[in-house]
Amino acid sequence: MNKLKDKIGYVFISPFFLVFFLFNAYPILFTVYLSMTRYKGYGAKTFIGADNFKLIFKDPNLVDAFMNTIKIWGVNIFFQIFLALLLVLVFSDIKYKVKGLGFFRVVFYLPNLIAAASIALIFVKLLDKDYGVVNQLLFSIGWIDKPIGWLTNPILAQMSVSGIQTWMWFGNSFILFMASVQAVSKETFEAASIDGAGRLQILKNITIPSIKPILMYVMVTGLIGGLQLFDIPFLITDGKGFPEGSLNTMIVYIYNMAFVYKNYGYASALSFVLFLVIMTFTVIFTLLTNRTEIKEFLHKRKVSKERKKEIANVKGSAKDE
Amino acid sequence: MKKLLVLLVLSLSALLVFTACSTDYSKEKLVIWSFTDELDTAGDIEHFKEMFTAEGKPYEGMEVEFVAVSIQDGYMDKILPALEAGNGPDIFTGELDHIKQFIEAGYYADIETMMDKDKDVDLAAEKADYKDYIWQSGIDPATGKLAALSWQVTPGAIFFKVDMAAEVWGTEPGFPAEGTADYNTAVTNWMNDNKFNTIDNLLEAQKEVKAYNANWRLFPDDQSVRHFAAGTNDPAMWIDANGKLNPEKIKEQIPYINLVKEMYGDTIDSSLTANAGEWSGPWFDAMDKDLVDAEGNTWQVMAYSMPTWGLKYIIEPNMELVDESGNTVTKPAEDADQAEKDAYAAAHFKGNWGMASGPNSYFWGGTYLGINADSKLSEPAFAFLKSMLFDKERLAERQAADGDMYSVESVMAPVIAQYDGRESLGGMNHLKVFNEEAAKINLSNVTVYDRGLNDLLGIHITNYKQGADGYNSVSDVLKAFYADVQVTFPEIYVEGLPTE
Repeated sequence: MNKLKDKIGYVFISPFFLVFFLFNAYPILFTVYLSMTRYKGYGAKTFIGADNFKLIFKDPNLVDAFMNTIKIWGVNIFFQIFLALLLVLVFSDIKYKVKGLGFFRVVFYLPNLIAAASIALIFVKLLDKDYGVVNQLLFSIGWIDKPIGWLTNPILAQMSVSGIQTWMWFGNSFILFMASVQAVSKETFEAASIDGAGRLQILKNITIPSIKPILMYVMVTGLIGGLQLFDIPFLITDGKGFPEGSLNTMIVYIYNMAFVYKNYGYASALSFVLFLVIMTFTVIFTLLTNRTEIKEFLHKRKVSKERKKEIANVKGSAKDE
Repeated sequence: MKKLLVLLVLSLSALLVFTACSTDYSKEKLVIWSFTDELDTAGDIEHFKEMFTAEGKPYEGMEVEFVAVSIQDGYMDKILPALEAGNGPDIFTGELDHIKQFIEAGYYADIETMMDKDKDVDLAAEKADYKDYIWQSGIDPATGKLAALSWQVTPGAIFFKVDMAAEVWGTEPGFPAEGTADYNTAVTNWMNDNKFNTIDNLLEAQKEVKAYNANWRLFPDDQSVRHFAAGTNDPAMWIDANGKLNPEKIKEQIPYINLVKEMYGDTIDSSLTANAGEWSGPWFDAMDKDLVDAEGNTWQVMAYSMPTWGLKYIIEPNMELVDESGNTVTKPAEDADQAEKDAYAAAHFKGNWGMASGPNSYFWGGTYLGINADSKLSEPAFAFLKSMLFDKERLAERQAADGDMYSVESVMAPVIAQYDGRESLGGMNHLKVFNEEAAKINLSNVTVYDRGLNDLLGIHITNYKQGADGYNSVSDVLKAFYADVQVTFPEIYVEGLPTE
């Protein structure tokens, strides 16, 4: 009877594995299979072994696409977290007592609700070098004497996309951080303040430790999402990755390879390599940011093993006696 | 006993034939996919239902499902897996490069044989009636039979403002004097002969416009000249007889690369165009307004490269309108008073546009129809094609309603002969011009690689014109292009291609 009860547990957890297999494991395995074929998206799939993976070493665009992605993501994640933390500092300060947190939460989160297509369209119009509103404004107040190529200069274009990404996502990070900070009792902040702790000390010793798990979560999901950056650069450049290929991110490149140039085999090989890269980055990042926890875990395991060994030894000696 | 057995077998056979003939179509569904909603909005589905699925008609009660998925929403990304999985629609449309893929994959049925077997269709007469380039482009090279056909023909032209052209070149020998009969046509002919006939003249014309007025430009941006990349009506194929990248095609592209480089300028001041990207707000605005840049300078654009549908759906809705006294009537705001709206509704085209040919004839777009090779409803599917492509009465009605260019001579010939001319083009018989342009188009050299290779080369041409690192010459463009081809289309890459 007990055994049957134990088995029923598997039935309850099976939907997850079913969905996981259908929508995660199967696509990954199918991508691996496609990566070893020549396939145009129609007609026959010709098995070519590792040829697509060999092509990766000849690809003149791959390193640039990867570096573009890293640059855009790096600048974005830095400012996204910096801005969110700054706001958390303001809104959690017991002296400022800023009101309307609910209202600001909505305002900051709003960009995240707008469709990427609309955002891209708006920013293309705003940032157009010759006819854009931003340059028009800067000219009218006399700050510039020649138009700035927000989307035509390679570095500025990358920074513009980073800026758009930051604007879209800082509200999300802010809400997550704020929820963690609010879980800490007010008395803790008050006590620290009475004891003479400055704002930076409170930030360092109370705020950041309280949001550390969420901070890690934001950084890891930001990393995964950042390396898969697609919509804004794709929509801004109509998939071309201009200027000078600076907005050609990894996923834009893979998308074009599959759906524009109909080379599904090579696109799958690139996707699989990117999957491995993201996984490696995530593991390294998790290890680096959880060093203390991992050390503690390993230490506890070691102690527990030693204890078990000791107990076994004691039991062994007792038997011998 | 033997006779009885024979009788029984015959009776059973007759019963089977009878059952097969009387398929109950009321339980069937004919599925049609297209990348535009035109088949629905133009009444083609309704017409088919009236002719074939209504009460007493051959496929009585059959349901017709129409699905429109725009190209932007991933028409090809959705239809290819469906066809690959065997769940594709019975009838599906495509643009030329789409149908090349469908044909290569064997997704389209042989409609030529269906036409041949159908007693209502005269195959030879239809072939003679359809524009040759449309018929040829739908042939499956594997079978030599027709797999897809289009009722449209979409040649392109250079639409230009006649009054601006007259200001720039009005003093040149042979330029028609204002008031000449059929003035817009006369100016167009002069432009065809003197300014738009070669790639070199096209470049020279841009310089002359800029020299005449520093704030005038011939084209909004360099995409306007991409249709003339070949510069000839007999362009080389991207793929040679060995199935590899064709060196002749590469050489053909070099004058175009130089043209784009010379047209480009980082600022509008230094550019030969107005730097108004295709389909952007300023690109549309420049059709009837002065553009105002961020610095407050104003710019005017003279010409646009567009196909048949571009005149009706893109340029005309943005053309300048005037009242009876010739004063410009601007488009009223949503909340404008009724009098203003009435005045706009009563206004008419200024009629200051001409329609010229470029250095070579070209086409852009067009919708082809074909039947799924795996369709279980091939008979009603062919009936749909008949109702759309071979019912000339219906096609004539359709043409009268939309005023478009059709690929069927028997439909277009009387229309062209009786045509009063297009008001927006100052009364020019633009259908006659399009008809002549369509006759010059040769699509036998189009391959499935064309769009991909043009896109890839375009990326490197853009890098070159913008002065990107490593792009100092045409040779750099070609080397970078070959490096891309090597990984993107390894099956057509070959060593030793020309670099200059």
